[in-house]
Amino acid sequence: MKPSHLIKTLNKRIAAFRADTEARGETFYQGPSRINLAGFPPKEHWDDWIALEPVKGTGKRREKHYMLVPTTCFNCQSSCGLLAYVDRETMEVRKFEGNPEHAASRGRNCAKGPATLNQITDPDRILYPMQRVGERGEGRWKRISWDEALDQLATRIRAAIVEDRKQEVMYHVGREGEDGFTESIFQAWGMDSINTHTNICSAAGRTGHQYWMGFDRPSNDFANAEVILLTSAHLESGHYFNPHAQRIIEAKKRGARLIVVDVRMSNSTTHADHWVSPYPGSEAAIFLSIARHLIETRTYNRDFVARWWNWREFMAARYPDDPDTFEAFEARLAETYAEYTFEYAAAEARIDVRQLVAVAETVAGAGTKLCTQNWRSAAAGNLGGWQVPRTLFLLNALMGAVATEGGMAPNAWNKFVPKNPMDTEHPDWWNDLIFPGDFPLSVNEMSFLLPHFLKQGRGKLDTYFTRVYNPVWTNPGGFDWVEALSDESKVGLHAALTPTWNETAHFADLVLPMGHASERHDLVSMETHDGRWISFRQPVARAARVRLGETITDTRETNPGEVWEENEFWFDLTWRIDHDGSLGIRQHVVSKTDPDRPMTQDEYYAWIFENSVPGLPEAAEAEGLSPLAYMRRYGNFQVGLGPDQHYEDEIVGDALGEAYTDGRGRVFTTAAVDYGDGPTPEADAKGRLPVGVEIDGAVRRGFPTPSGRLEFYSATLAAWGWPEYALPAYIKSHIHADNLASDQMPLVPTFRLPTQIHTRGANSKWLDELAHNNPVWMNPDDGKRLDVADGDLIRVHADLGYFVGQAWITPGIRPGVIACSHHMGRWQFTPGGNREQRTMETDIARAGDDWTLTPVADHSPMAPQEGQDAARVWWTAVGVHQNLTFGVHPDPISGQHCWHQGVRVTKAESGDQPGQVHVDRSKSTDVFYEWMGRTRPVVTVSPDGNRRPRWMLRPMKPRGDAYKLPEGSA
Amino acid sequence: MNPLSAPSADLWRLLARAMDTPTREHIGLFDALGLAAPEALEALQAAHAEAFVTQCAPYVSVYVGETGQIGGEAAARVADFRRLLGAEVDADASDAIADVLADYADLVALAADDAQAAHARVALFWEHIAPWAGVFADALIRSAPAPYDGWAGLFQAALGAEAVNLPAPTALALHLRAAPGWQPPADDATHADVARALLVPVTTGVVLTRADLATAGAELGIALPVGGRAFLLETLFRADTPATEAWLAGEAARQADARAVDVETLGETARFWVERAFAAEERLSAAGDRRLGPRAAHRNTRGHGNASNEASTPGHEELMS
Repeated sequence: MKPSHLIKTLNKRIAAFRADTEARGETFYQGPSRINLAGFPPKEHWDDWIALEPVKGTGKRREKHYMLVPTTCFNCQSSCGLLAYVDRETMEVRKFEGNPEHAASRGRNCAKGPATLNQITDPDRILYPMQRVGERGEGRWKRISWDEALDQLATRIRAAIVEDRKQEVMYHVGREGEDGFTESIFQAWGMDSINTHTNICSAAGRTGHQYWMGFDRPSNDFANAEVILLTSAHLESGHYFNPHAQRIIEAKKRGARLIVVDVRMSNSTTHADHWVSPYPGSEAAIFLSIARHLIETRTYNRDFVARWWNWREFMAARYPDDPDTFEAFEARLAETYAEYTFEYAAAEARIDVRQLVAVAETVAGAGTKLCTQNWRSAAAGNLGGWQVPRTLFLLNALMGAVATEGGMAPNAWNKFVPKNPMDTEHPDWWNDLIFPGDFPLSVNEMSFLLPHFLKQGRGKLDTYFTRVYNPVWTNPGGFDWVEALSDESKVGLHAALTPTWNETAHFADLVLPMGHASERHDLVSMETHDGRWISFRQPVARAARVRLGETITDTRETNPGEVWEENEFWFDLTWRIDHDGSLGIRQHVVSKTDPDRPMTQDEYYAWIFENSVPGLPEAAEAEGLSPLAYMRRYGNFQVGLGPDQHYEDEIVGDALGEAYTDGRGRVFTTAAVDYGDGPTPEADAKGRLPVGVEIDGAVRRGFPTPSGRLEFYSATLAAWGWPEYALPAYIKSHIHADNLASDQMPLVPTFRLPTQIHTRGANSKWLDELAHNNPVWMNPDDGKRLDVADGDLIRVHADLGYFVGQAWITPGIRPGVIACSHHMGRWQFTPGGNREQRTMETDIARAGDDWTLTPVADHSPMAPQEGQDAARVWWTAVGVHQNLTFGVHPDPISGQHCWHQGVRVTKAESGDQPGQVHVDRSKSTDVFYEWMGRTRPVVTVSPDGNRRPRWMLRPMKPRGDAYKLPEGSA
Repeated sequence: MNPLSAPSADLWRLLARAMDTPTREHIGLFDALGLAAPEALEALQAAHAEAFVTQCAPYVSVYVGETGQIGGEAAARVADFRRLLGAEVDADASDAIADVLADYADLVALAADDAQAAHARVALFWEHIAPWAGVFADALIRSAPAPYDGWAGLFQAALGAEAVNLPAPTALALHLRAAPGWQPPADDATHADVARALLVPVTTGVVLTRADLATAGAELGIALPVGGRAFLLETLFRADTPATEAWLAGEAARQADARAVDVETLGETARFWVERAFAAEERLSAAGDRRLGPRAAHRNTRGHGNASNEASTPGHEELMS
């Protein structure tokens, strides 16, 4: 055929093909796949996926058959999807890749996901329950059975319940990795006993959001934003960074502008259109100057502000004599922020004023597609850091970029937590060790002060669980934790629930091995983007064998050694605590088909998937599967899309019920109100629930704040002892130049290494190979001033003592500031001969209050004791554990530990080794009392006799009179 | 332009789509193109992998880049152009041929009503498609299993039909203008060095696929191990340098002839490849002739079939003339 005829014929055939395709209602051409040769195994082949693998030494390949089983990564909070490749011959997991069915991660993972393989094959992992032998911390252990461990725990906990010593039981969690299961267990026990790590992490980030909108977390629609403003190295290491990073890059490809405020040149700043490197702690001043610009140029969204801010409440409180008009408010608003000129902010931040102007102009052009983010970073570093997210949100609130496309929504509108079958209630008492009266406004538990509280005699612990948590290494003042955990009069029994050895488990009485991401059940949802989803974590070998027709009811049957999962552990323990049912506890975990045993995991999750996940039963039925089988097969379900502007929802009819409107326009009802996954706002004096807020003559859902509106002005802060911070404001940090001596400089210790996992990365060889050191970043100007060259050892002197680190001289950090990642410097001592961690081996010498941690022999990481990787640890650095030298810095409002340090840097002295740490423990108590002196205790500020404003979030929210301060305490 | 004999936008779209990892929809798609595809999806996926993973990497830079590998300046040129068009460019595969063809299809669709798109269409065709398309299609026809060999035939036909309908450029594409000729190996060049140099199509004018090298091994009676193309070629040289040079000269001549057929439609673009391939053929033939001398013969005998380091060291000064 002639070429011209061939083309004509082809054109005709393809036109017909297109017509046929479209007549069937299908898409003729969906555009290029953009995945080219990197496609995922089609899900219809997940039961038997064939890969060609080389046969070693033969030059040939053979077919390898896999079953692909989804699970959820457990190595950060993002909860990305993983696909485990289970070898059909051996039923072992051979590798982990991304799960393309996961709504948030969409098949993509960071290094930490595939490295799950390192964790499950770690030759030195904990495989059996262990009980200490000899003194606590001596490092000697014996293997015991799960029954022995469970009976010990059940006996102690039952006694604590029966003898009304519930406050002596405490559960302290690091990475939760699930939504609501453990809370329900402790609620079943009637315990207000959950202590989380949040106040060393995101408490300040949450606080700033909560005062504005009642919800304590943001959900970003990065993918559709026009301007993205990040306060951190969010792209590579922020919360939910993988789902976020891929969407931020999509937005950038579309032409969105990226502004990064970060003192270091991170991988985020290298992608930024504007990189602002401020003096740490000045971020709120920067954001207020941008706000001032928006106000002064009238580029803010006046209609939105007029409708949704509680400006009338502000005017009534502060300017009662002014006219009750929006224009009068606007005048006061401009006056309030008049001092935050670009020049002032630039001077505070020590940046070029022209850069600030350019950033402000960029923000002003965003309209309602402004997407901002601050989670830890500056919020977690500074005294008053909670005002950083609050002033950042001010920009969204000014632009009306709240729950808009490309804007920022409350987390609960993009997160879905289904109800579970345990049917429990919040406890009816208040745990002062967790929520002490010194911090009535703290968003989360004051967990990092526990050793000091115990030392003060505020209480003692009979049974203390640490769960995937390592306070000795993670928290400031780790030696305080060593001291407290070593004292049996303060901590009766310490049970560490952990997959791997760590510094804290060393001081446990029971070390109970729990599974990694592919060895346990959990259900989780995160507000990663403009959509709601649930992700199922499951023991993949168990799921694979069930797919092949086996019946398995205990995950230990398929896990290595006697590694268990927590869900089954907690059900079993609950059953043993209330073995005869007399305490009314075991009824919460009983099987609905057999009253003589607890629920199985199949029963538990089948109930959830069948009864409380909208759309899942229908989606499963369409594939001929039960809801549980659907989740076991795909691992993820998208519950809904888009947060819409729910605050605009009109409340009418039965939902409104018998309504009453207060003087601020808050509408209350006697009808039942469903708050969904959001916080529960406070009822009025007559017990009526807030159902909405009156806006332009209609009742709209609004926000779960006292006023129902976005709270520019916080009557709560004003009434609870902090009137000076009732508005978004700039608080000078404890490391502001005004608060440092002339020879001090700020140390920024808050940034992560993107490929590390807090306390569970030490034995992951792949990850350690990628990142294994945390040198001290120092600008060349400072190096010259201090006579420190690249690679030199230096002493960094903080509150409690000094650590010896290695200087990295780099222009990637601004002059006058040093920085050191908190992710390295893991250590162990090996008095019992155990060498279970891939960290440095150390000695701890103690002389009175002087504690010294010294690397033994050299500071190299130890290799695994067996296996292929035993000879493959080529690197020699481990880093330094700087947190040991930090005192506790509780922010008096948010309760957040303020991580930044004012430090002095000197050259190392003869004999100093990298990784060495010296601490004077007595200073720790001094620093504790110094910071406690900033608090305004509840007995002096409570306006209503309560321990805490009832509307504020609290993970475990005691019922009834538990909120009331004890008689006579005020 | 004769619209009836010019490939439609949908034809370009399906040609692009056909290069993606196959799904069930691809079976109907190949049928629409008049190509017989395996009924089993897995067989089609295996054929796709053979065509685009094992034999002919589907990236522009492999054919017109100065190293013959994915990425580099050639890929950046393609990415820059596609970004200028407003395309969403994948940073990891900015010059993926399927994506370039998909973008081209969009321009064909827009060109009828949009002068700027029409201009961009011509530029994309002559700058970023014509320079590699002939050698890529020819390599697939030689090396890929069905239906991808057939796909390459259709692509070649579409290319020719398109070229005669578009105004010819006044200058060679930058990819070709910027490409240096095949530089003589250094005195101490090893077999590996020469092998790597021979695997840069835009300098030698010759594309060598794994199938080509397997053919060479079979015709020369040399057993080849498993490995990359450079390793295979190095093995051929180690085993029998003159025979390998002679075989390569013959292949260069064959590919020069194949490109000569394109001169009628692709003009100077095709002539570039003809000249480069003939130059390679001449140099390889001359090297083979000189090997007939005693020194070369001695070295040859010593190196034949011997994979030791000693045997791998002889220089390639014969190719330097």
